[in-house]
Amino acid sequence: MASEAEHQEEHHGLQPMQYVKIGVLLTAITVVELGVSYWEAVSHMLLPILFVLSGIKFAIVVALFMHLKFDNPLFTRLFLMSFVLGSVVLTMLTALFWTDATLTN
Amino acid sequence: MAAAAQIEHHASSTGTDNRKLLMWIFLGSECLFFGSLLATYLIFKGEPTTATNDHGLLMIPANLLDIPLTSQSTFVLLMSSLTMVLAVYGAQTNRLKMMKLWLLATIVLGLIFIGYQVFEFTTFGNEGLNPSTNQFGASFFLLTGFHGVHVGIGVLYLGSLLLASFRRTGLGPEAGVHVELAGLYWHFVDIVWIVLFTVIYLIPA
Repeated sequence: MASEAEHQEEHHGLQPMQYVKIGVLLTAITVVELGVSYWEAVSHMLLPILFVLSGIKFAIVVALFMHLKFDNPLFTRLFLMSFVLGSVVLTMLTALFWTDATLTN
Repeated sequence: MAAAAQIEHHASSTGTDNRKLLMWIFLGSECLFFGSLLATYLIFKGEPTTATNDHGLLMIPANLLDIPLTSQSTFVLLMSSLTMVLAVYGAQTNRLKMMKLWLLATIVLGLIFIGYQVFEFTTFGNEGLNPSTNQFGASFFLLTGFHGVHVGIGVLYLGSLLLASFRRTGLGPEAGVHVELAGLYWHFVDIVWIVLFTVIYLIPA
């Protein structure tokens, strides 16, 4: 019993039912994403809507499933730094090639 | 006591477990890796092409990508993240049967996802799209193929943990840490797919 209690203290996160609810929420967001991508009426707003929705899914998985919300802040800083750097690389590369089409020819 | 001593042995000067720190650094480097691959895809997906399939359709994303099919595989990968976090919970709370069950479920879901990808690649191949057809084909197969390889490595990683858990000593006193590290990798593969699914499949050319 003592050993189990000791192990239980090691878990820093949510309870199984809470994880299941998050799984349902993630599925619901994916269904909304899919619906929005086929919905002509919001086609002019499609990009920002999809970015926000996938951003929410991304944040939920990173914060709750990967336990960044409950873990040492060092891991959050490390991951955010890499993510921002990766996004900057992506933005700079696409901007460079989209503005100068001759580079891909 | 033994477990606490071992965990202390792995502590780094930052006060965190050095294996976990290493995994986060590795995942950080993967952000740059997939960022570069995604940029390559975005640059080349709109390139003009004259290649057509048997029905005379141009080999461009709008004519080839099957969104309903990929939505199913996305759902499978999302559910595998759920089963993975339940396996981590089982390992950290010493519920070994729960851990094994959810590890197995995660492996099965990972294999189903790979099956979807193989089906998609085969369909594209039958349509005449392969990495040498045009720049869209090259960058698409490179990006989604590398993600598929990551899923495959994850399946092997989880499979090795599951096999090890059937030994007499199981995963040892640090089962929670071992499964949590595998979980971090698996969830990362999932978040990469969240981005890829939105950018490749949902956002029209």
